[in-house]
This record gives sequence, structure tokens and C-alpha cells, in this order.
Amino acid sequence: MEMVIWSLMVLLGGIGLVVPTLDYLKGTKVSPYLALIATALAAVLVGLLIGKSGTLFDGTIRVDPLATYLALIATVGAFLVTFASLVQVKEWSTSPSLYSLLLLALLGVYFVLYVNDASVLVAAWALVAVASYVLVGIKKDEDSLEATAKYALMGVASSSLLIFGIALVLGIVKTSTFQVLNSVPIGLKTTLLLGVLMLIAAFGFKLGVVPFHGWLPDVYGGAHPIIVSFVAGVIKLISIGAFLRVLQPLIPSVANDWFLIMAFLSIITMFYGNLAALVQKNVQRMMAYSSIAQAGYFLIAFAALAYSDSQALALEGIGLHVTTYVLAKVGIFVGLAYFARKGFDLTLEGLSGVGRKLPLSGTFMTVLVLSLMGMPPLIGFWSKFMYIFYSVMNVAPWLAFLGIVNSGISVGYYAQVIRYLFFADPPEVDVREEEPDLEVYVLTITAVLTVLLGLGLVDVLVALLS
Amino acid sequence: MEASWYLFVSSILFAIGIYGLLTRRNIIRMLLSAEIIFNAALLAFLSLASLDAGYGPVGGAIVVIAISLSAAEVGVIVSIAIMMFRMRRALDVYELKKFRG
Repeated sequence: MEMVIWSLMVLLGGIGLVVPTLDYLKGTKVSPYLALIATALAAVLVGLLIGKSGTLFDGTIRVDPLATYLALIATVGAFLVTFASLVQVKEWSTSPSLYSLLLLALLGVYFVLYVNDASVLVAAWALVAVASYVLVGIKKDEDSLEATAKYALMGVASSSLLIFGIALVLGIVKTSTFQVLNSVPIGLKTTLLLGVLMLIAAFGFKLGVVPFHGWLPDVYGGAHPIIVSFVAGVIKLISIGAFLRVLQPLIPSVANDWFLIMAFLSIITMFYGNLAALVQKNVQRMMAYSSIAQAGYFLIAFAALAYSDSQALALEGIGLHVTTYVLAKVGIFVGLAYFARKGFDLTLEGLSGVGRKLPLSGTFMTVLVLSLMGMPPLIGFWSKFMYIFYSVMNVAPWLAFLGIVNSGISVGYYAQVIRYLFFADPPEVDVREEEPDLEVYVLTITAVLTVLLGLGLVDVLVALLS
Repeated sequence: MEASWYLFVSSILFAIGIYGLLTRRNIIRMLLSAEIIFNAALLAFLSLASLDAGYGPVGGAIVVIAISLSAAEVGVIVSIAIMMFRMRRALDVYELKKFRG
């Protein structure tokens, strides 16, 4: 297994560092294709780890099926984004750096997902965080400048809280490995809780949990959609991975407080995200607020981790909902980037009737939106209702109820998108889907996977998770 | 218990940093405030690590890694500030058109 991790480092790090240099100095145009090959090979390498578990590198890396599954999903997301970028970013002067940063950030995401030691966490966190600040601003126009300024300043605050949290927690554990605490000395409970709160804040910043969400609408709503598809679809997995690896072992020590904190955060996050999305006129901003709402659903599953009888189902729920989330967000933002490239404005008015002009992409966008909404038989229904909401049913039915209420609210804006896409007069411009439109392939792949996985492959996925 | 004095200083630095981050408008000043918070975290880390002889050096190593994280972040934010100054001849973050919240 160590060989696989080494190969991933050499493959993604090596290609990521060498290729843009080559492209800038020699004027070649090989980086997109090499990046595509690198992500495909990375998917194969991560596939080799399926079903394996154990600790590597003197216990600093721990491989287990759930982390491998999340890494696989991240790789699929990165591959699809790279594929769509081939036509999207061709005109940008900085495009070789973009591919390099995609690969380096993906490597960092792997390490955060597999992390078992604080030193690896800090280094991997730095790799992903710094790469993502540059990615958001890489287009160098006014919108991305605003987005990246806010993202980077909030990111520094998040990293500081991460260091604070690690300092307090490790000061009690007295070792740098993340492990279950056998007993906490009386009098240090408050310190431990303070450390856990700081870590929740640090990871919550990246996940977009209210009250740490301030940057998210501006970044997801302001940066170029193809960048957002990577930041929202792949980079967000680091906070989920960090919650699972860093905070999950500490839950037994703070069990009751943990459930209350997570339940409270999930309720305000879901309500804020869904209610704010209702009034948005810009579809990209609407999807940004929908990301906040989805973070709230993840927090329900994290709350369910506090009790042993709901824990197994909650872990499966997190894995499945990550599938839903990554497929839908990558697909939807790539679709929005496609509409933008075809010359449409990304407001609801601007997109009216586009589904009739571009029937394939319109239909697949609709499928992905329905999956986020939780419509059976798509994967979103299984992950959200049958796993995440069901997992808290025994311990806190009211939380599941509030989640269902929020799903009801979310229909209001998701249906609005579908209504404007299809049930409006088509615009008077001559556009159609042509052969080299790679974004349509990405939409096809994500939508087909969403349907197929929902239609009976859920058991296969759950088998992959454990 | 000398560590408690260092933790006290660290919490004061944390408060100063949060105050600066919330009240300043210039991106460089906001960066400096964020760095004060970061240094408060490093101070807390080192003072807690020093309490245990076995874990102490490990904590010190993690702090060194964390300093490189902060250096990378400062590099990126300063280059964003340079880009901002080139594009609009000002460093005021709140003048950005859609910058709110």
C-alpha cells in the first residue's frame, strides 16, 4: 500500500510541478492532456486501495474503506472538471497553472482524507488551502479578485483556528496521532471542548456552516463556474474528511455536547441556506446557497455519529451523500459554465427557455437538480432521506423532521430553475449543442451516474464503504 | 505553571487579532491581524506542548510545519493585494463591488 501512496505523490506532484513550467518556457500545450491522464491514473491507483485498511508511514497515514471511497469520488470529480476545462479555459493566459493547481490540490485532498497524524494534517491542509486561493483568483478579473480576496482572508482565519484547536486537543492527548481518548482528566473537559469547538469552526469555515459561511456566496457566486465546480465539488471533501478523521475519535469524550452543537449548527445552516436561496435571482448564487443547505444535511449525519446505534448508518449516509453532492455540484456548475460560454446570462431570466435550445444539457441539469432535491429514484433520495434523515430517526426524530421541512423549502428554488429552463419562451439566438462541447459529456456522465446509482446500485456503494 | 502565562498572552493576542480583522478595511492590515491570530495559535501550541517531555519536540515540529503554512498564505495574500492595487489603485477591501457579509 505504501507503494500506491508513493506513486500518487510522484504522479500528481511530479506532473503538477513540471508540466506548467514546460508549457510556459517552451510554449507547448501539453498540460491539459497530461492532467487528464494523471487524474485517470490516480483513479486507478486509488482503486487499488479499495477494501484495504491499515496504517502506513509509521502510523501517520491510515487507509480505510470509507476514506478510499471518498478519495475515489474526489478523483472522479477532478477528472470531470479537468475534462470540461479542456474547452473552457483554452483562452486564459494562466491555464497551465490551473491544471497544475488542480493536481496539487487533489493530492492534498487525498492526504487529508487519509490523515492520521497532526503533522500530515497541517501540511496537507496548507497544500489544499493555498492551492484553492490561487485557483479562485486565477482568471484575474474583477469578480474573481473579489472572490479570492475574501476566500484567502477567511482561509487564514480558518487555518489559525485549526492550529488553535490542534494545540488544545493534542495538549490533552499528549501525542500527535489522532486516536480515541480513553479517559479525560477531570478539569480538562472544558479545555477539550474548547479545542473541539475551535476545530469545528475551522472545518466549518471550509464546509460553509452558518455562522462561518460569510465568504461562500461571494466565492461560489462570483468566481468562474468551472473553478467553482472544483472548489465546491472536490475541495469541500477536505472538511468532511477532517471531520471524520480528526473529530470523530474525540466524539465519545464530548458525546452529549457534540450532539447538541451539531444539531444546532445543522438547523441554522439548513434554514439559512434554503431560505436565502429562495430569493436569489442569479442561478449561480442560488446554487451557492444550496451548497450551504447541503452542508446542513451533512451536519445532521455528523450529529448522528454521537450515538452508537445510529453511527453505522450515519457513516454510510455521509459516504452516499458525498456521492450525490459531488456528482450534482460538479455537473451543475460545469453546466452553468457551458451556458455562460454559449453567451447566456446566468440569472433566472437570462436562462429562460435555454432547456429548449440546448435540450441535452437542459435535461441533464434537471436530473442533477432533482437529485439534490431528493427525488426518488435518484441517488439524492437514497442518501438524503433513507440514510441521513433515517439515521437520526431513533435518537432525535425532531431533527429528521426539520430536515424534511427543509427539503420541502428547497423545492421552491430548485423547481424555479427547472421552470425557467423549460417552461419559458426560448431566446431568439442561434445556439445549439455542437460536437466539441465537452461539457455536455460531463453533464451526461454525472446525470447517468446519478440515475444508475439510484436505480439499484446503492447496495453496491454501501458494500464499498465497509 | 508558567504555561498559563503564555496561554494568557496568547488569548490577548487572539483578541487583538480578531478586533483588527473585524474593524480594518485595508487588505494588508487585515492580513496583519490574521497573522497575529496565527501567532497566538502557535504560542498556545508551543506552551501546551512544553508541558510534556515526550510530546514536546513533536509539537515543536508541527509548529515549524505550521509556520511554512502561514508563509505560503502570506505569499498568496500579498500577491492578491498587488493584483488588487494594479487593477483599481486601492487596497480597501470593502470598496469591492460585491464584497459584503
